[in-house]
Amino acid sequence: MMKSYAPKTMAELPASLAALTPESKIVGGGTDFVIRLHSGAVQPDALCYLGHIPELKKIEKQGDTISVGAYCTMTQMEHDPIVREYLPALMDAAADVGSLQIRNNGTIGGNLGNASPAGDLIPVMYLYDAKVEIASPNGTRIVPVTDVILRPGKTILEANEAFIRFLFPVPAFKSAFVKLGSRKKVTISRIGVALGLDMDGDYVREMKMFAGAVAIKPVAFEKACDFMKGKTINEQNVLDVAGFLSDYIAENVAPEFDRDYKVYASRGVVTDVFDRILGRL
Amino acid sequence: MTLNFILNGRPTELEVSPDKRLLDLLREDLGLTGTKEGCGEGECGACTVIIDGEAMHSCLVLACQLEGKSVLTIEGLEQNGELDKIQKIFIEETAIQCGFCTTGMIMSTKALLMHNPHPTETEIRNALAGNICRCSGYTQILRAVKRTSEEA
Repeated sequence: MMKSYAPKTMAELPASLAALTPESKIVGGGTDFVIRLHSGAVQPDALCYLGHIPELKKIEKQGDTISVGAYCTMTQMEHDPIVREYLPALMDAAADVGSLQIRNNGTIGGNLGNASPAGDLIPVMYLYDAKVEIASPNGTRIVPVTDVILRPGKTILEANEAFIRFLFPVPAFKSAFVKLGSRKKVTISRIGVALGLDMDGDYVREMKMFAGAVAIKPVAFEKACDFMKGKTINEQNVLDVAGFLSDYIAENVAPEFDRDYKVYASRGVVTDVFDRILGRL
Repeated sequence: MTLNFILNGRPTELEVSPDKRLLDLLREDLGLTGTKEGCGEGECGACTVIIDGEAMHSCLVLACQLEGKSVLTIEGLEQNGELDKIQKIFIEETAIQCGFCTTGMIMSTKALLMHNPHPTETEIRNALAGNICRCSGYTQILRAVKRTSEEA
């Protein structure tokens, strides 16, 4: 019979992790994993669920860092006052994941652990320079989120390791995220754009932009950000920024991954994310 | 594993494999067949139940996640042999055609009204966005949810 570990405290966590093998699986909310489990695509020898540990469900601000437990759900992040004030792009991304039933169950740890190119929260983690704390039987280590994903479905996590919390530096810039799907609700991301703006009056001092669902990992648009330095946000400049995204997609996305549609849709999604962030300046 | 959880208000203990889906545990182990399996992938919402006050897909929750949690299914809505107000109004408004999505629609509605007794139409649509009715009886369903909230 399959083994199961569900520690209830941080003190019990190392022993549970020590019992896991390379065939074992950490279960987050399960909204992606259970589908593969039920189809037989994965056949683990043990399941480990950490959602009973209170610390892993907490969102806290400590000095200049916001800590988000790995088992915080999308719904929790969407409504959390700290997230809404300091990490609005995380709120945007969490609020747009799947349906309410998925958002009530899906977790931030699972979103990264699943390592899907369409993972909604991942471009936002890149935008905010997030780090993730990883627990093992011997203690914890902290790693930049940008180092975590190796390929679709595969992260740097070793067999005895689990994400326990995410660390977001309080950003000194305004931020927003917009996802384009094939319909308004309950949709899989086709392009997700995370945008950060530090303004000097009407002029852009610094910009950060990452796009998700166009490559294995979120893509940084440094040239678009350099282009916007010292400029105002007007229709032409926004369209030029969209041009960096559509050029990237035209050159790098294979035709069977809806390349032509994504090239065309870049303009709309970039316009939308600027509109959203302008409402927050 | 031995699982202890609250099912429709009653403490429940059973021996179950940790990888068993809540949906199968309800239907096969406990004989509660009111909860339906549609797509089995979290798209259709037919299997929606309420866990610790939130609507979730019972096809995407495993036994190993359930220890100590409180699960409410369609069978838990009736009180003293009387259907819940939502169920009565769904019947009166003919918000049911083939009936397969109905359990999920009602459980999503129940969760919504537990949090927000007087939702706007937008809030109702958001709460039910993850529930698909292939008979396409959405107009009657929306009307039933609205009437339930107005008469609460």
